[in-house]
Order: sequence, then C-alpha cells, then structure tokens
Amino acid sequence: MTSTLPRPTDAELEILAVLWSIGPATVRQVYEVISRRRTAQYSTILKFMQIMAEKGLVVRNQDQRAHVYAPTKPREWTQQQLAGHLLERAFNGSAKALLVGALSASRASREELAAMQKMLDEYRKERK
Amino acid sequence: MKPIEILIASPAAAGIGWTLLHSLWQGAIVASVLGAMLLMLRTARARYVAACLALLALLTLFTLTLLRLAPETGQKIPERHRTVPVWNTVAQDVGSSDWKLNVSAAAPWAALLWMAGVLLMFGRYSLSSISVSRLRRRGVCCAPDAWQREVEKLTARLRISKPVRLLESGLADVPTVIGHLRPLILMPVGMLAGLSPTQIESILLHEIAHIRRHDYLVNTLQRCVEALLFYHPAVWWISAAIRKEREHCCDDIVVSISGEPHEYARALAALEQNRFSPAAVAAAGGSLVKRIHRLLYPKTRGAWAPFVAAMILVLTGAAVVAGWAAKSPQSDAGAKQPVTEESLGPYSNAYYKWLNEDVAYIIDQAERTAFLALTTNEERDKFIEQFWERRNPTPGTPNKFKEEQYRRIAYANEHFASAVPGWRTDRGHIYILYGPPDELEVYPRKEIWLYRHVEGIGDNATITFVDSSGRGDFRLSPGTSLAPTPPAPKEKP
Repeated sequence: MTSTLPRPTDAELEILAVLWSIGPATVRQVYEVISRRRTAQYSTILKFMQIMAEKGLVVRNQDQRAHVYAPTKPREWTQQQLAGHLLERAFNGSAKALLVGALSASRASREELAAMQKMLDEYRKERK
Repeated sequence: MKPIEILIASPAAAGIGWTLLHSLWQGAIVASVLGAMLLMLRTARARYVAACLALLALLTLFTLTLLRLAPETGQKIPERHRTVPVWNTVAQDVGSSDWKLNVSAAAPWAALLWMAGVLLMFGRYSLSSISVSRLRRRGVCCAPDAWQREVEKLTARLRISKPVRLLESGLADVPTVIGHLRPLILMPVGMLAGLSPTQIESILLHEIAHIRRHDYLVNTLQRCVEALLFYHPAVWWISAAIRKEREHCCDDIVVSISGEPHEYARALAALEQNRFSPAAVAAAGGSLVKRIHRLLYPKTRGAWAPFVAAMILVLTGAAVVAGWAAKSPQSDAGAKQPVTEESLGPYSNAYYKWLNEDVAYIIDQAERTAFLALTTNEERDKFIEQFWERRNPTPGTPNKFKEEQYRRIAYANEHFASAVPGWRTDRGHIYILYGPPDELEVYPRKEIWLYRHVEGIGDNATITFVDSSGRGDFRLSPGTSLAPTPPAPKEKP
C-alpha cells in the first residue's frame, strides 16, 4: 500500500499541511485553521477528509467520540514523494530562481553539514 | 525571401550582432572594476550596492550601444549586396581577409542566436513566475498564532509599513519570501519545530530583512537582466556576487538586532540539516559554510586586498589604453573596438553620407575598408579627391565621371523616390550604376530596361522591375540577373 499511496490533490495537500502543522486533529480543528486563511465549508472539509481516509492518506482514530485524523506518512516522506515527482520538480526548480530566503536553493552536501557542525562546536568550546 | 533571410539582412540584426560583440569587452571592464571594488569595500552593504550598480552599468552600456548601432530600418543600405545580384561580388572578395568583414558577416547570425536565447530565457522566467504563484496558494496553511505575532513585532521593529503574512507550506523546501507588494513569508511546515524561540526569531528576522530591503523585487529585475544578457559570463558572475552579498546583508541585520550570532548560525545549520530534500551529492559552493564562518568570526580584510585591487585596476586600465591605441591609423586589427561606419562619429556626417550615399554603389570593398581606416578629415578629403581622379576619363581636366555620377543621383532622387529616397530604390541603384537604359518598356506596374552593353557584364542585358504593391515601389524582379544573356529573352507583357 505504501508505494501505491496516491499523490494528494491540491485540496488534500492543504489538509495534510494543517495536520503536519498542528498534529493529529479533528475535522473541526482542521476547519478552524483553514477558515482563518479562506472561506471554507465544514461539510466540504469533512467530506475531503473521509475520502482521504479511504485513500489511505490519513488514518482515523475512532477511540474518542470525535474522530481524530493523522497523516499516514510523515511530512518528510510525502514532501519527498512530491518533490520527486517530475512536474513538481520542474515547478519547484524554476521557482527557486525567483525566491529569496535564508538558505540557498541548492542543498548542502553531507561534508558541508559536517563542517558546519564542527565549526559551531569549536566556537562553543572556545567561548566556554 | 524567407523571414529568417529578411531578418539576417536587416540593419537591426547587424546592429544587434555588433552590440553583442561590444558587450563582451564592456562586461570584461565592468567586471574587473567590480572585482577591485569588492576587494576594497568593507561592508556587505557597500559591496552589494557596487555589484548592483555594475549590473546596471552593463545593462545601460548594452542599451546605449544597441541604440547607437541599430538605427531604424532604412537609414542604411545594408541590402546593397544582397538584393542586387552578381556585379559586386568580384570587388567584395578583395577585402575579405579583413577580420571586420568576417565579423560583419557573422554578426546577424549572432543576433539571431541571441534572440532565440532570450526567448528561451524569458520562457523559463514565465514558467518560474507560474510556479511561484502556485507556491503561494498550494499546500499552505496558517502558521501558529505565536509566530504571526512575532512577525508583526519584527516588522514593526524594522519599520515596514506593509502587512507581512506568514504561512506554512507543505511544498516549500526552505524559508522563502514571495512577492513585493504583498509580501508573504513561507515556512516549510514543521520546520521550525525543535528550534528555540531565539532561533525562530532570527530566521524570521532574516526573511523580514529581505522584505525590508526589497530583495524580492531586485532579484526579479536581476533575473530579467540575466535573461537578456544570458551569454555573458560577467553577468552571471556579477549576479552571483549580488546574491551572495544580499544574504550577507540580511545576516548582518539579524545579528545587529538579535545580537546572537551563534544562535543564528546554529539555527541556519539546523534548518539546512532538516531540509526534506535529499542532501546534495556535490558541494554547492559551500556558501552556507562560509556564511556561518563569517557569522562566527567576523573577519577583517587581509592587508593584501588593496594591493590586489590596485593591480586589477591598473591591468584593466592598461588593457583599455592598449585597445584604444591599437585603433589608431595603421592597424585596427588588434583594436578592441573595431572602427565601424558609425564610429566616424557625428562630426563627420558629410563623410558618412559620401561613403554610404554618394559613392555607395561604385566604391569597391577595398576602397571602403581603406576609407574607414582613416582617422583625420584631411586624409579623408585627400582620399575622396584621389577616388574621383582615379575614375576621371581625362585626368587633369574637369571630371566628367564625377559630374555624371552626381547627375544620376539627382535624377534618381527626382524620378524614383517612393517610400525611400530615389537613390536607394532598385531603379535608382541600377540608374546610378549604369546610367539611362538604351531602351525602356513601360507597363502598368512593370518596367523593362535594356542596356546594349554593360562594362564587365556583356551585351543586351535586360532588367525587369516589378511594382507588386502598386505604390510605385519598383523592385528588381526575382531572378533577374545581369549575366550576359544574348539574345535576351523578351518578357511578355
């Protein structure tokens, strides 16, 4: 099942983003976060989340009276799936040229990460 | 003619081609001066401004050169050797070893390639814009209230009047600023979890510093310049310098406000560690490593920097002077700036007119090259005098040839003018070269000229002009050749 997990649609991705952000949540909680950004219908979001549960994108915990939904896969996994998708890669890759931010568009290598860590550790030792 | 051929033959294409060539040395000079400046300037902000100005200077030089070299269509007579067949080809071979001619031939093709490249680059640019607007909307959700309040606090502190929104994104890979008028900060969802409040503040501060400095707008403009001058290594180098100094500027703002370089450096390293995309295989220039080093150990410039800078400036200056000097009379082969017809300058418009109008059809390529190499007006006057004397049928007496030449030009201007001056029309061209035809057949929209004998071509040459538009714009009919064709096949009306 894991490998055949469908690619989330835009609406589903929005719900997933909320679940990643606030953790496992009820439909009501998801609705509240989404409606802060745009007008949304509670019933629509409920419907979407039921479909997502059927697809296997989220799991439903029915222990409590209000069902709590959680993403099946952690965000890193889904993001990597999305980022690996050809279309997504093309879009994200070209968007990077227009964005400004704290980190550069290209990822640091393992050696660089290690070098950074070493530098930070040494700095801390010097200060102590 | 096919569209591409028309394009290649147009004066605009030649102008663009030469502009591209000139921009190469212009860029080299600008880049070396910037290189020296970057070594001398102490603050990231000053270096950033210098790099931006350098890019602007390159763009300005390019535009000015283009405006100067690509006059509006129809001011020159570039199609002289193209629309009119055979008779000039012999003369043309004389000067073909001259590098300037070779460049002139290649220039329109360079222009064509450049246009294709720009089209491609702007295509990529629009794709990027679409992606960005997608990123604004897709897979985003509101960030926790605490952060949004933090953003409000920090924007107030940096005196930003625009409202800044903060969203979490399921698609963004790194913290990102989008938009200039309605700036939006995108945080990769869950990315800030696990960072201390001080660290979160420093990262948000960095993004807000970008907004404060209008970096998104500048970056967009910068991309446009890159798309326009994509072929130029100097542009990419300058652009990379701008990007680097931009991050340094924001880092400086963060440290000056938070006063915690170590916390900030750790936050950057942690963010990089948490990126969901897999680690790069090859080192990406190690820019973050250098930035973190810069944060932890703010360095003073090496004592050698001013010397290196001075050396770069001296070498650049020497190269410019050498290039200038090589332009002088005898050899323009090594000149950085080739002598073009335009470089005669406005002070010598009369000579320009003489070369490109009065004797345009009768001067041969060797003479033209020789004339263009002249540097003083005395030399040019002398040249013109000798030019006519060489053609004087009875040397020493009043020059019948010259008189006839000017009479033909006057006649052509009087009788053949249409959208363009008479001397530049096809009929004018032939009239000025060969004089009045021996026989003339005139039809509506068509004229057939017959010459009994044309020097160097043969007997009984017929030339057909067709006015396909009906506006008196007679053109040499396609396929007309002045090759000797006795007996000339009579065209039926």
